[in-house]
Amino acid sequence: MNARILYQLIRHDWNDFRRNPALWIMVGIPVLLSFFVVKVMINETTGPAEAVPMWVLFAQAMIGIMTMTLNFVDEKEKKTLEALIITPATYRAVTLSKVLFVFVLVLLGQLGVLLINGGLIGNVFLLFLLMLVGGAVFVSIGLLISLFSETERNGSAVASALMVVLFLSGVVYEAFGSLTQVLRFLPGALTINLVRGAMHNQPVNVTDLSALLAWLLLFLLLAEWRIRAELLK
Amino acid sequence: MKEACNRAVEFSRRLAQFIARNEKEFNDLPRALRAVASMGFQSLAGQSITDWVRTAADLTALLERIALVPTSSAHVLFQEQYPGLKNLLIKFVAYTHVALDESRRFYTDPEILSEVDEIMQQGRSDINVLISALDDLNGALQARVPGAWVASQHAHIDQAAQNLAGASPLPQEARPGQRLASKTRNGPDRENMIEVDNLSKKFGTLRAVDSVSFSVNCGEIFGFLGPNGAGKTTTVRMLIGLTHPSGGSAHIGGYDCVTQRGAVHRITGVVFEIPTLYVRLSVRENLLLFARLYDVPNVRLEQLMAQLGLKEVQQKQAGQLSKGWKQRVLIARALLHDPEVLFLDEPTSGLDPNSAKLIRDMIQELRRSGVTIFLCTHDMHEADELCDRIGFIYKGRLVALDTPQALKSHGQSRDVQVEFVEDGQVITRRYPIHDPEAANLIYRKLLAKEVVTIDTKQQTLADVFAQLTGGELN
Repeated sequence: MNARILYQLIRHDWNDFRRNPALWIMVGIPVLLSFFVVKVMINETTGPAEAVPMWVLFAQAMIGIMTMTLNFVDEKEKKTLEALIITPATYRAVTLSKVLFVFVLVLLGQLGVLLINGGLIGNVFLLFLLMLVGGAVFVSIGLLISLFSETERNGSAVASALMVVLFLSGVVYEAFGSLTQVLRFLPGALTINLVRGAMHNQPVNVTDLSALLAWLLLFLLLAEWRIRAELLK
Repeated sequence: MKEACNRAVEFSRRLAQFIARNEKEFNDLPRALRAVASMGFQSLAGQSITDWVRTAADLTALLERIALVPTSSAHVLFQEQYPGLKNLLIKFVAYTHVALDESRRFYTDPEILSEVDEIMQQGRSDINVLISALDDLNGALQARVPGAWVASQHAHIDQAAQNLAGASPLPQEARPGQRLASKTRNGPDRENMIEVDNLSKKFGTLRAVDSVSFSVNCGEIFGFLGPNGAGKTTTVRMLIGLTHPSGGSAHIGGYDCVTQRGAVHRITGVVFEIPTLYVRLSVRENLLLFARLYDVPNVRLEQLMAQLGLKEVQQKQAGQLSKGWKQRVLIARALLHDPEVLFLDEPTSGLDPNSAKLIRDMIQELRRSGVTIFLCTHDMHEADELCDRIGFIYKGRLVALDTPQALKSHGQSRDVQVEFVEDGQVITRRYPIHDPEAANLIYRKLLAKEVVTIDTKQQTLADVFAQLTGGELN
């Protein structure tokens, strides 16, 4: 893949993003919301390690899924994607540029949440690793939704629903009794548990991390399969 | 470079056709033109493709004008064409300077300009001096490029000249090289710029395109005419690699539209029916994005914006433009990388008459510069006005393919419509043009001074389409 083309596409994504207030809000909301809510949540018994992980997840889910979907499906619906892929830019290059661009936004969003709420504690190196892996998982979910949606309306509806489900599954999975052992392996719950562990400076839970990586691999394989199908349409 | 060579070959073929057609009539002029053309090929060795096309366009415009006047007036036209020819000469003179490097500014270099001015001055007083100067330059340039390549260009000129029916081959002195073998099948094929063979596309059980075969010649405007849903856009999408064919094959410039999509994209430009612009970005930003993707210099962007009158709206958001302006931006975008083939999907659909005319004029201009144009439309008037050949597509099948004139004469002869006065009333009658009854009636009425109007009526493309398919065109 041509690095120059990729750079130009990412640069274009940034240009378009700058002029799209809806996407700015999408990135800003998790950071702002976390600031107000975490302040209320933190007390003598609950520290940042308990209150912040859910907002890291929220940033991953909201920015990763929603921004990716809106950005990509908008191009599909307005056919600008077709205009791009009849240039030296290929379908894969356009897709990768969007994934990378949104991935950076997700990282910035998570970093914003951690910084503003004093969340850079515990095993910071592991925390960064989890930001990368978790961010990639949710961007790939957004990518999958984009690849299957033809209109922005459909895409955003599915993205919103999935975002809420994945976020809530991470926050309240423990309330589901016997289902807890299954639900804890959903990406939302895995992320919260892993981030919380890192902030508490606990050793990494290899099973959870492996499960999260497995999700990422699964989503990427599905995306690759879908891209191939798109190219043969 | 290979692409550039093929452009040169195509241009030389056209030039040779022109020279062969006009050789007897214009005495010494062909010699001058041959010299200019020859220099063009050689200067190509160091030129960018953009410059070459511009050069070719300059020359073509010059040739077209000279073709209309006798030799005695030719040198006057050389003078009238002074700016264009001067630029051309600057380039050629620049290439005769062995020490010259690319960083030197050809167009402002005093040494080059003075040499060019001298040549032009001589040319004004005596065309033969100009010809001689051109020949000298030609000789100087020969030393700068590989002989075999120059020879191949001359071989192509000769071949094209001989292919012309009734045209005499060029004089021996114009052939310094040996004839080379014709181009291979694997290389880019510019004779048939687009070749479509049994192309099909099925969506489930629906055959959107059903075994369509045709070819489009280099430099031709090919109209693809059919009602909405006939399969026009699906065919184009297969040609430009956006849709995978269910069967058959398609080649553009010799490149396979499925397996060599990258190469196809490099030589094609597409103007979609819907305005596929980034609405939040300005006109300039929209074009800049594509210029960067194609890696074309900013100067090309500026040139196109000036050519299409986009400078005044360059800072405007694309979403705020009217459809006519959007269409101009789309055309500019499609032309950024100097494509050899331009696909236009309903380019004037929904435009006001002025904008539509501007787009049509632009299409004609592009054809003059050698671009092959594939025009999808359901507007029969547009197809009739612009196209060299037209293919009718209906329900996914190509039902007819010919020139507009030949299509219109399909099936029945032209009619003559007479309006005449009879018993104080104006009566209208229509007859086949060769009907003896019509001749008698018109003769009688003319003698009696009772004829109001006489018109010949020809079938329209829509009539022919209806005859062939039983369907409506629009």
